[in-house]
Amino acid sequence: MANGVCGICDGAVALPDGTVAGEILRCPDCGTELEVVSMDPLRLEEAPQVQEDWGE
Amino acid sequence: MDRDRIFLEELVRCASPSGAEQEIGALLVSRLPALGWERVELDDVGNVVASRGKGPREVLLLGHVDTVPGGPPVRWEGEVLWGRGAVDAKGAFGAFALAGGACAVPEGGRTTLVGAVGEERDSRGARYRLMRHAPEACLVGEPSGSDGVTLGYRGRIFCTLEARDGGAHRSGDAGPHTACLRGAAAVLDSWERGDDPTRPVIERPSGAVAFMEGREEGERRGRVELDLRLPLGAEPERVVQEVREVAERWGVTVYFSEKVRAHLVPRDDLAVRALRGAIRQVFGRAPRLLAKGGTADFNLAASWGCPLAAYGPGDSRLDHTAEERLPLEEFRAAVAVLQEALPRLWREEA
Repeated sequence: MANGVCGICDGAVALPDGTVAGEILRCPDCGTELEVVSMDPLRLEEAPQVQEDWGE
Repeated sequence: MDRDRIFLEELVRCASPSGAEQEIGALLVSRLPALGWERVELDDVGNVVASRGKGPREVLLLGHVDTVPGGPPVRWEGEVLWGRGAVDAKGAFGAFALAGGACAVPEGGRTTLVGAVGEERDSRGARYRLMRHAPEACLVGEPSGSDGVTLGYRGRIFCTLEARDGGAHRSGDAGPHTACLRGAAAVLDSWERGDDPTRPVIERPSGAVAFMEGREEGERRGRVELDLRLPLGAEPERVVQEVREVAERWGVTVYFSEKVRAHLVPRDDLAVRALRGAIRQVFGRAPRLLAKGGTADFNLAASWGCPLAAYGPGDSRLDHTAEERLPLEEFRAAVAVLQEALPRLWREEA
């Protein structure tokens, strides 16, 4: 199991086995949703939030 | 020769308002094979259907080739192409055609490109394709911006309120066109009651008059068409019942021609994930994720229950306007993102 660090609270984030780039995880300490940007090297970033838009 | 530039211009220059898509269908049948598509045909309703690979596992690229009428004269201003459909949604379809025609298809796989007709009217093209595919993943071609991914759209109910009588004096009987007007106003008021402007657009109801007319030529008749947008969670059949009850209080008959529910996929959806990763790869920054107030063939594609996202170049604020235009650089970026996303999608689905 790989371990990462939350960029918001510096808390430890354990990545379940089989985690792949692109998955979204929740920091167990602060609750921030984190995107696994890459696995090698492991990089976590705050996941983008959904914005609104009026068009098609 | 700049193939991408020429192809985009050809698409936009070929006028194709809903109901008059024959010319663009013929154009695509002649052009798509040279872009890598192995089989290209028009189906019974005029959709362009192209494919690569022969396997049972299908990734579907669903765009639309019709537009609303009007728009600015087709022209280049520098490297920006002006014209109806540049944004909604020939840019997206062109990017699908170029990227999908260039990306390898794995053994056992098949990439299908559909250029649907009638999306701007009644989605007849997409409806016709619904029973003909069971894709493992689907990308819908609509403008999200080349660095954005659309995760959801509101639903829609389109209804027509009608009333008529044999004639009477207005001083004693306001008549059916007045009833239509009042009935339509009551439906709109009822539908938007409880709207919370602080909520995201995909969670808010809205309504608009799409058409209205009233005649008094002996016989009196009125007609109002309403376009109601449905937020997440609104059940179309329940809304239909409510609209009918309100309209009938005014003695107005209601017909419903479209009933589509809202749909939002999660950020972790496999199609969204493939596009997210591709956008990061191409732009080196986080993608924009969008939930839209409009409605698209995306809502119908949701019935396949597969990974789903909408993607395409352009600023959707220009949809349907006289300012519709698409920078070539934005178009090229979308092609690059899709060329990165499609292999990821096949890998995710493996």
